[in-house]
Amino acid sequence: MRSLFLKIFLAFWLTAVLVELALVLAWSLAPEQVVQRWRSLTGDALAIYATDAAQIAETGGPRPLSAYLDRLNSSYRIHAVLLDSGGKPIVGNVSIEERKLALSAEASGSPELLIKSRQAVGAQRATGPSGKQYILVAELPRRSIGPFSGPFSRQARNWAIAILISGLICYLLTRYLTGPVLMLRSAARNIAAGDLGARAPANLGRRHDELGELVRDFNEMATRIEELVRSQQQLIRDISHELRSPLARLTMALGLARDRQGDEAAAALDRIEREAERLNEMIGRLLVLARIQAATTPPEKTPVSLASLVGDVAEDAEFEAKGRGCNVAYQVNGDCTILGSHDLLRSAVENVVRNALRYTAPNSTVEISMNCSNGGPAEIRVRDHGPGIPETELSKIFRPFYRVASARDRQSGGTGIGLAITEGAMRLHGGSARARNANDGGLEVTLSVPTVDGNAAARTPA
Amino acid sequence: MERILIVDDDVDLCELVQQYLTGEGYQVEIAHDGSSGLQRAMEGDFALVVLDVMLPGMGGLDVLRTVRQKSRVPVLILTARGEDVDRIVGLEIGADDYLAKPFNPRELLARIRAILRRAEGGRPHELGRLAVGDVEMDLGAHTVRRNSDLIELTAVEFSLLERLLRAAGNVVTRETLAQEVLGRKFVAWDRSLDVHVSKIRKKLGERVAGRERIKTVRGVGYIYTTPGSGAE
Repeated sequence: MRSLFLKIFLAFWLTAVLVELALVLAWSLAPEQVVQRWRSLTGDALAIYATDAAQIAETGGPRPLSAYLDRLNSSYRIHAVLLDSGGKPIVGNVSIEERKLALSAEASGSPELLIKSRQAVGAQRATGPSGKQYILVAELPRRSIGPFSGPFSRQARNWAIAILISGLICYLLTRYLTGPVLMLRSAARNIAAGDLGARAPANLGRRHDELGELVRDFNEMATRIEELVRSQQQLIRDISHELRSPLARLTMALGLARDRQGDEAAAALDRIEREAERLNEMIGRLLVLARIQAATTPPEKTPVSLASLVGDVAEDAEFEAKGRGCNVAYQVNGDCTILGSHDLLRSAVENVVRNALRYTAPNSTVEISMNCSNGGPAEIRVRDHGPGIPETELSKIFRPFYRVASARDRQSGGTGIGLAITEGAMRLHGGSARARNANDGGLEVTLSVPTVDGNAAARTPA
Repeated sequence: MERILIVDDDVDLCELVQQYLTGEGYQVEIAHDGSSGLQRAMEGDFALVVLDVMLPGMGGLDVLRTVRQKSRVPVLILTARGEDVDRIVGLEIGADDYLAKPFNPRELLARIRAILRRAEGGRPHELGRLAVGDVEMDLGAHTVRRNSDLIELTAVEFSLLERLLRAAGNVVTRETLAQEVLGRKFVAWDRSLDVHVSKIRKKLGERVAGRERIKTVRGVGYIYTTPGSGAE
């Protein structure tokens, strides 16, 4: 049973039903106080029946009396006989025991009860309209002592009502307790999904019990987390901005140095320029990464043709591949449209492809393929013939600055931010990035992103 | 000798840029904040203003806006790398081109030269008049009229329109436009051309004689339409 709600509800309800049953059992086991109450209640009832019977006997005669007694029997399961003051039944007969009871009731004037294992017998004196004395002797089934009296349908109805009412109360109580828990869960899930502003509803926090306190504490914690994350992102942005000023001066000075120096310094200056460019690129990527991490939706929602985007990236890659001594083969099946940011999507694909080019073996081919399935997400697959990634690290490569241990030592270029940008960009567009080692060596990265084809979105002509 | 004004709060950077451009034969003056930059731009007779958008106080874009109210002096804005908004907004307000910091000094030089070349009215043998439909361009006087109404275009808009009109009825590729009008290679994510074309459309009117004046050919370039060349 997985649901907290169900657990609590059934526990409450079971308790209620058990309590009801226990009460019933307790009463039917009949400690004396219970019986006393019953005696007086039954006595009152008997008195009424006796008076009615006496009246009917005198005014109507034996036949109406019989009818009345029969009705008593059928309605209440009370088998009664009316006796005259001598102890002789007017209609029907009684046992000796019952007669004795009747006579003692006549003598005492108060109801007499004899409780046996399966039944009780009661006797009550009554006065008829003429003034004559009568005694009503009745056999009551034991079960009339308590809630099990009356016809089955009525019992069933009473029990059904009792169970339903207790069920309703238990349900409301459970709702009251588990409601906040569900809201907290929903807020926690939203925060984990990236919506740092999600909170549990404030009105819940106004409850004065422990659950209310929990909600307030949770919201406070969420706010703190949001602040921490945002200040960290702001820090990355600020650092990157600040680094640009010295870099700008550096590149200007470099330009001047080139003009003034001769050829001897040219190589060194080239090197300086390359490193400055690398710094520049890293700053740019950091900024993109910071912005991606802070966002939950793409920065813009323009239609992007995936086929032309992948085609562009692949063609650029072909050019770069020639310089590295490897090849690129690409295959685009169909076209689909994505609503999002062209720049981000292009970066995402480009970073994966560049990585593939970087690690693939000399003279091997990097394979790029794109598939649009009807109405489903589009998939872009990039496969290289490099060393692959150890299984345990496959999911980690999408983290910022993560480099597979051996790669950091090799001069392979790259900064470890590219794949983090890819993963973030995919996530923003509602998609995902996965990596696995291909069957015959190398790494295969699959990017999956939902498209707008198959929806009612406006299609712009290609 | 052409005079260039640099407006940027980074003192050291300004000094370096001044040295570099002076070495290339320009006369360079400097301002370090928005208001003095604005003042110098309005009163001096500069061939070009290089303006940083990230100025403290009166921001670069405000300076640009104010300058554009009264002057058509060519402006190159310096933007922050990765802040596309500044770039687009700057072009919309009327900057001729942009350059993201940190930049390669050779790139700066190339863009400055491209802008100045345009502002001089193009190559000598291309002086004269160009007329298509309701639009007439006087290349020598650097004016544009639509049905005898004078239309104010920035230097880059002027060059762009000229290039499209010369090829009226035919598509001009983005690569060609970038190279000839902006003086640089076309890159996929550079939307400067889109911004400039959209401004030209707004100024001249989106439609003429029941058809789109300038049509975008997606993935290829733009075409200034003539009757029978693609009514839509």
